[in-house]
Amino acid sequence: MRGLLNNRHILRRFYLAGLVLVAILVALVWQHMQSSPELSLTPTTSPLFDPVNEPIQPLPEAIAVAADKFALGETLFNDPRLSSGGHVSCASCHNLPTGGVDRKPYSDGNEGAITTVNTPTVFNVAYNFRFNWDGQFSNLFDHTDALMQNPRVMGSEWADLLSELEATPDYRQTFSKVYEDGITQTNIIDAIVAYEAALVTPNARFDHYLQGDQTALSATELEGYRLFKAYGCISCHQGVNVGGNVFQKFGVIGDYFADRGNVTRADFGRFNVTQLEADRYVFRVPSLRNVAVTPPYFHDGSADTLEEAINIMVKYQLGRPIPEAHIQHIAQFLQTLTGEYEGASLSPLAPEQ
Amino acid sequence: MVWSCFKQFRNRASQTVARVSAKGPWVMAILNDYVLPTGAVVVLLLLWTRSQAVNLTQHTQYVDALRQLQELDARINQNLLQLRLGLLDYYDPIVNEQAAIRNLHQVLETSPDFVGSTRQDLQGQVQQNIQLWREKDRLIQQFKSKHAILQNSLTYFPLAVTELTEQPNLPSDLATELDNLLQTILLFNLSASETLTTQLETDIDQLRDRISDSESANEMLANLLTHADLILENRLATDDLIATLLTIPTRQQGTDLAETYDIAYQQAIRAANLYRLGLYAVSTVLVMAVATSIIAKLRAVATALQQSEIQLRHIFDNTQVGIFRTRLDDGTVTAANQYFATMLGYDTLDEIVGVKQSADLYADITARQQVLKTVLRTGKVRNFETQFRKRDGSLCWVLFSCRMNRAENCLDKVVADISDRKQAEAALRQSEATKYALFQAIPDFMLRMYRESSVFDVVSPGKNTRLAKPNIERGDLQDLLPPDLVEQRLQAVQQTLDTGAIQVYEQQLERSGDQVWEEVRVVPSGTDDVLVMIRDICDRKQAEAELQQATAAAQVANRAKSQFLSNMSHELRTPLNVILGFTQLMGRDRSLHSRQQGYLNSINQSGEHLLNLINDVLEMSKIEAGKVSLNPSDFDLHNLLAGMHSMFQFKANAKGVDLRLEQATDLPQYVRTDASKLRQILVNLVGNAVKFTASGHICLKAAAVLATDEPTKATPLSALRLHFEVEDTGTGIEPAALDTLFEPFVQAHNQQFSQAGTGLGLPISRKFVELMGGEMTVTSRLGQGSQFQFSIQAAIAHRGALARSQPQLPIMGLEPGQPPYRILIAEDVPENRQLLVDLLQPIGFEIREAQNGLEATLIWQRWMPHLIWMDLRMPVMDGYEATKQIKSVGSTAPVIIAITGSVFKQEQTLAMAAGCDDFICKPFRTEVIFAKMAEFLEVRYTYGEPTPAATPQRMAIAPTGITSKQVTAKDLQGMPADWVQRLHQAATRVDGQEVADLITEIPVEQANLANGLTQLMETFSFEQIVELTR
Repeated sequence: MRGLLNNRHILRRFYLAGLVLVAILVALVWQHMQSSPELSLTPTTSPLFDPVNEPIQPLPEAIAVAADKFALGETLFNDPRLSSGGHVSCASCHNLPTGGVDRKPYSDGNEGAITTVNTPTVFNVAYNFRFNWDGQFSNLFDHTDALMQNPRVMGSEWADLLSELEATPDYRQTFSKVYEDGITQTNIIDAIVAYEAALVTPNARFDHYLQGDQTALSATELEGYRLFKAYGCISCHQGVNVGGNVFQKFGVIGDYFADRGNVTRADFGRFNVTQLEADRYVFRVPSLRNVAVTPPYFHDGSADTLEEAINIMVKYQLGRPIPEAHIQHIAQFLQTLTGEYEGASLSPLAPEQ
Repeated sequence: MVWSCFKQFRNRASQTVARVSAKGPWVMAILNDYVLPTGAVVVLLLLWTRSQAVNLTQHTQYVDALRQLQELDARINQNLLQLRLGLLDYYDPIVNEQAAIRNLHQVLETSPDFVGSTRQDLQGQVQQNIQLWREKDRLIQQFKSKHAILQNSLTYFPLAVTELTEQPNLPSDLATELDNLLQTILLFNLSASETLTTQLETDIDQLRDRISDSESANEMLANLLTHADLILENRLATDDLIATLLTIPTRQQGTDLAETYDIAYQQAIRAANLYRLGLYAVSTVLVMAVATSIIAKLRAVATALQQSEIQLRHIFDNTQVGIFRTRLDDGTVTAANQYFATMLGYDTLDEIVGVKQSADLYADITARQQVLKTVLRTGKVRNFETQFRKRDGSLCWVLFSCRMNRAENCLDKVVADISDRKQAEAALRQSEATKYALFQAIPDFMLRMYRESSVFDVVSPGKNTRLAKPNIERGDLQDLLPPDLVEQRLQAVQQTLDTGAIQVYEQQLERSGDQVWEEVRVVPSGTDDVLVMIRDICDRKQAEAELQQATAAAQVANRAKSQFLSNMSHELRTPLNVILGFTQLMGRDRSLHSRQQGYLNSINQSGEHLLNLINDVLEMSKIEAGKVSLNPSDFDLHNLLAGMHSMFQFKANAKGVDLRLEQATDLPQYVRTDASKLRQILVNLVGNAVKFTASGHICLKAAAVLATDEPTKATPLSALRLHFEVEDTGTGIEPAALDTLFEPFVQAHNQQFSQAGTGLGLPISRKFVELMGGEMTVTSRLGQGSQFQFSIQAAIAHRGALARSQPQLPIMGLEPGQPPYRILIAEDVPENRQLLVDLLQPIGFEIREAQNGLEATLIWQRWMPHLIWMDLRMPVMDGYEATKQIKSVGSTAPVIIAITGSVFKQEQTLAMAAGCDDFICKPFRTEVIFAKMAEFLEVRYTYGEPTPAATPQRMAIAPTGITSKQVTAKDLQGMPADWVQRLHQAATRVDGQEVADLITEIPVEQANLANGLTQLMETFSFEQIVELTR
């Protein structure tokens, strides 16, 4: 063997063969690099659906997400280690069994902090056009990233979090299964976002109605829907998510905040984002899907019941009187917007509450 | 494949480079093997990647994004208008489209990799587009909000008007105004013209003024007016927003962006095409070069193959072994080389190939079957010896090898003619057989031994069981011989191997208790081995020892005898001289009466005889004691033979025997040898013949043979060989006696010769012949005669020298009338010098002496001698040098004759070369000295009377007198009868003194007679004298 290697010709053959091999390898790698990298991140485009001839559109069945990524996202979503205090997880506020919210006016954030606004539900977030009440984020990714670092919410430093997750064998294993590059900031967010995007609650009774099932709603509920449209609620609460796709000033007619008093910075709404006077008190119109199971209402969590909320809305947004019966009807209609998650209807409120 | 070809091409190219630059083979090798291919690969890779730079997927994505951007822009605008016109009652499409645009912006923000110089520009435009869309988004959001409010108010306003007008206490004009307002608002909503706006504002203000009129309706009215304000405000705002939105140049900007990108893309495509072209060009060049090199290589290989084919063909045809190939099926010869044809006696291959079958070739068909069987079984046959039939039917032995060629279904065969070897083998067998027989016949114990080894192999155990160790083929000398003998043997072996000469030695050792003598012969038999023959020589040794003892004893006895005889002879002769002397003195006394005289004669005769016997014995003892020497002299052979004839003629005739002398015609007359001994031999032989021949004839034959081709003056004695033969028809000799015929003192035992004398004549003769370098033989048949033959060495003598010295006249002096001759003698030895001085001075020459060459030259300069006798070897200056110096003066130089003790020709040549005129050898004869001087100086001598021959001494030991005349009866006729009578009586009485006295009475005129008689008397041939005087 030594003799073989000492032979100049043999060595040269080996060298040439190696050279050709290396050249081919380089070419392959280069070509591979040229082709656009395969996206392992979940696209944030909304799925298309067949529109019906109504201002409200039915919710599609679900957004397909890879099972392992969904599982990883679920684990992360429920893992309190993601917060710096180690007590708060995403699910702490977005508790799925209670409609994706904690049903509190303000939520308990990281290390005893209290959020400045009411927590909206995590269900069907994929159909929101902006995130946060003030619409600060135009996509879930940025939103999650920000919340992770928000000291009031999760308060995590990415570097610390990454090292902590790295120290967990299960995470290492699962991440490396789902992502080529294992545990990274992007991948963590992506897994959470993908999970959130899959949190869709289809099969609301109203959806059945929209899809042609005329018996899906009772007469009262149908009357509620008619009133919902007639009173102008539909101006903002429309589309597939029954809202969530438009900004609107809280208090179009009448000054809600003056009447309520105790105005906070959070009440400025979109003004905090754009610094435009026109955007003062402007908020993202919230989705009304599952609205029945996600009290209290409004960004300040000031309305505990649907009726209360409808009353305030009619007063400050629509600027017209409304009889109590109509409120009841509309409230009943809103009840039909509660969908199903994992085949089961979201849990209604306890009768006492 | 292509790569390797390229590599070859590159190698070739780099070899050329290397030949030109020849900087260093190592550097070139590295360059060839590694740097060039790496460079080529890198260049190709670079070109390839460049040519592939335009990523079509990216391009498609980008173009698609640009297209979608425009499409979404249009759709958003459309949706906005739909919203404005109430054709769309929810915002999801716009929201989704905007989200899509955001996604597109993400795509567009990263320009494709191939975008080059315009990247900055492109990205700027993308950012610009994003900015535009951000602005548009802001407006859209405003529009949506305001549109929602407007829609709400527009929906509610008619209801509110109806509710208000239905109030019971509402003033009618107010109701009318409200209706007008409603109409104005509806018109305004349809077409927000300037006038309508102003009118609406006026109407609202008028109504607001009337709020106080009706309290109950005030709240409702205020609410109504608020909605009217909202409609007015938001209607205008939404219209403005729509107008602004539609004027935002997103579409134009998108188009510009697409154009910018297109330019960038075209640039990239052009660049890529350029690189692709380069790649194609480089690849084409490489491929062509590689192809060229392949073709060149193929051609080279083809040429090499062709040459190799030719070479192989030559080898095939010219090889000194027959090669041929036969088909396996029928044995037909399908190919053969010329040597095969020639071997079998065919002229051309055509007579064999395709014609002959292997069965035709084999002399013995069973051999072929045997070969076939073996080949089919094992695939080959090696060195099979068989006989092939030649064309003419004769057979030849061949060594045959054959191999199965299954691929071509044939047999490849090789045959070598081994007829010569077979003959050699037969001869060898014969030789071996002979050798074996020889070994069998030789009784010696034979071994083979090797260089530097004491181990031996037994070749032949021999016949002598005492030497041979039975039943061993190999042994070690160390086990058989004592160490010294082993050493001796090894030395002998070594010497034999070194010199190649046979070594013979004897060894004594003990074998089975006996002392054994062995002769060891070491004979070279190879470069590293020898044959050792050991012979038991115990018997011989014993015989030798005995013989040696006997010889030694005999020699001692013989020497003692000779000594004794020698002493005795002298001792005897002294008294005998006295006896004879006094007897002769008494015989002169006339007073003795005849009877006493008779007694005295008897005493005298007996004494003479006794003396004769003693002389013979003395001669013999001298011979045996080695005291006789050869005294060669020049003499007339013819004369000698004639004298011999005449000496015995008388006696032979008296017996009625014819004595003949037959001498060969070419017998030289003058020869040089010991004349007296020759004469003595002849006298003896002829005397014997006369003595023993009663009738018939006696023949003395003489002949000569030249021993060398070129007889010269300086020829040594062996130049001539004289043959003599004495033949008679006498009684002959008994065969038994022939063996002892020449042995001295043997005769006494032989009855046949009892009557003769001492019996020493023949032994003495033979000794003389041997002394003279010859041999004497005798053949004889009893009753028919004998032939005695002998030959002696002699030399031809010159008549001149002999003739001049022939007179035997002594030189007395120089003839008068000659100038005084000055002679210089250069000689270092005083005796030699004196001899010459004594020789020349009395003659009358003037003599000077020099003790060396230098002295000689000095004397010559002063004295100028006529002749110099120059000894060649002298101290101080030798003769050569002196001669050279003297002769260097030229013609005035004296005659120089060299004298030297050497007889070698070389010295003569040197002397002549130095300038000597002549040359004589020591010991010189005086005649020669005088003759040379006469020759060179023309000296004339005066001669004295011939010296009278010394009175023959009666006691002379050997007859040395010169007798050239034979006495005949005729000679005696001139003498008085009385004298003859007295001579007769004296001879009869063997009275030497009387005869001598009588001889003195012979007159001078008849000197021949006197000489002849003296001769006869001295040889005691009284019988002859008796016969002559009868």
